[in-house]
Amino acid sequence: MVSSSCLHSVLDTAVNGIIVIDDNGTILIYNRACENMFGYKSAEVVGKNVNTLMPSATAKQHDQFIRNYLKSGDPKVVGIGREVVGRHKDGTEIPIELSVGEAQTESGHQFIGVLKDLRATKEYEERLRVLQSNLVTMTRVNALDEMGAAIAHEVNQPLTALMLYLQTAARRARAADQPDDPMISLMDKAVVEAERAGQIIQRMRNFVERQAPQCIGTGLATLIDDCLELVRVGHEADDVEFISTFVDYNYQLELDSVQIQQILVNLIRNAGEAVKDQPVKQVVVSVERDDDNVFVKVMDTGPGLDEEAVSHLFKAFTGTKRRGLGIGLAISRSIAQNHGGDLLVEPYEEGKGATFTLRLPVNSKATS
Amino acid sequence: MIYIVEDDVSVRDAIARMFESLELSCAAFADGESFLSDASPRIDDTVFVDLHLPGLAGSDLIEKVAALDEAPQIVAISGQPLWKITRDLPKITTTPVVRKPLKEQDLLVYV
Repeated sequence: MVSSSCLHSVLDTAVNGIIVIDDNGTILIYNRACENMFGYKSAEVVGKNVNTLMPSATAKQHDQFIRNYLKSGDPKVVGIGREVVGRHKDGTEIPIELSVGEAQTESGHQFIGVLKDLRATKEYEERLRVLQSNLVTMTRVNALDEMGAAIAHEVNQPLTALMLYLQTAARRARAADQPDDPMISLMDKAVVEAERAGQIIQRMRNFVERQAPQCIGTGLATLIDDCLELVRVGHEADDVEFISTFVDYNYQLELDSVQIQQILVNLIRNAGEAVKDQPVKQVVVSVERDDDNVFVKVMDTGPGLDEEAVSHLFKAFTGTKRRGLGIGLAISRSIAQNHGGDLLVEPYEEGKGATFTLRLPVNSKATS
Repeated sequence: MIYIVEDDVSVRDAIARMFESLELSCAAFADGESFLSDASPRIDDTVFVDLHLPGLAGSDLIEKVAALDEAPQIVAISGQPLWKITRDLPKITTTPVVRKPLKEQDLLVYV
């Protein structure tokens, strides 16, 4: 038999909130974890109805819930547990995972609630969700930008040549001994159409130009941690170890954090895929610095990339995967280059995994 | 004399033909290296340089040519977005930039 003081110290040591109520809903026991969760001291709520700890909508109905259960024996939460909402002393709502048990005691029917505070979990999930949706949006925007820029640039060349050829030909036609007027008129029309095509390209380019990288000071270590976190979500099942060795949390770098995140998530995700069937499943992100550059390296314990594979790596539209957040190495590299950096793969070494290096320039505003 | 350094073969040919048809003498090069080894531009010449060149970058070529004793007029040509141009162009010079797609008038104002 345990003593009452021992029981109380057990209750107060528990990480989860524990509340015991009688069949009227009156609080009998309220442990220390509850005090932190709800902001009420034990003395303030013991003896009061448990609906003090609920938002008004639930509070009104709770007594009825108890009566219904006692009458029908049909459990809605007892023995099942569910996610509920509690109310803090300051009025804010708290997401709680509640499990309820019951006991017949000499002093009547009692219910024991064990409460887990979900605030931290919810915030974390929310943060991850925002990060992920930013990445998805940016991935789409970037893919469009890249395509727009690529088309604008590629079409520009033949269009420029076409325009100059036409203008030159038109001038020659005019200078001929017996000018062929219908011919000249046709050429002038062709020039006007080439000009129109040029204007379309210019509009497209103006649109793309608004999307230059938005560089702001960003904590590199936190950024890497975020990326690892994002990738871990998809790898919970296959025990791949994702590690960052860079822990200088004061180090700031001027960069477009979403774009750089995209590159790193892409690299880390690829690395995670590469080690999935290996005996050692490890992905390590490390950082090296010199005066002009920061090198973020993503190393894996996969089979490595031979020369043949490397030669296709950075070509657009050659990827073998068609899903997920991956933006492809071609776009990753072009984002890195837009930052004045580059994306490289280390040469193949027998028995070693692949290592990708993202080089980013350290500009004047970066501080260490 | 007009020099053209442009890696795209059609653009290079079209520019050269355009100047030839106006009876302006010109020489065209596919990259910065061949221009530096074969051409000897003088002060009253004009050099059109594409910023996006293989090998020696257009911006580096412009710096080299601008540093010559009797430096010719230099005009940059680019099909890149504006922020890439401003990032790539050497900051010390005030090189004018003509953006593709271009018309003959865009080039003729410089010769």
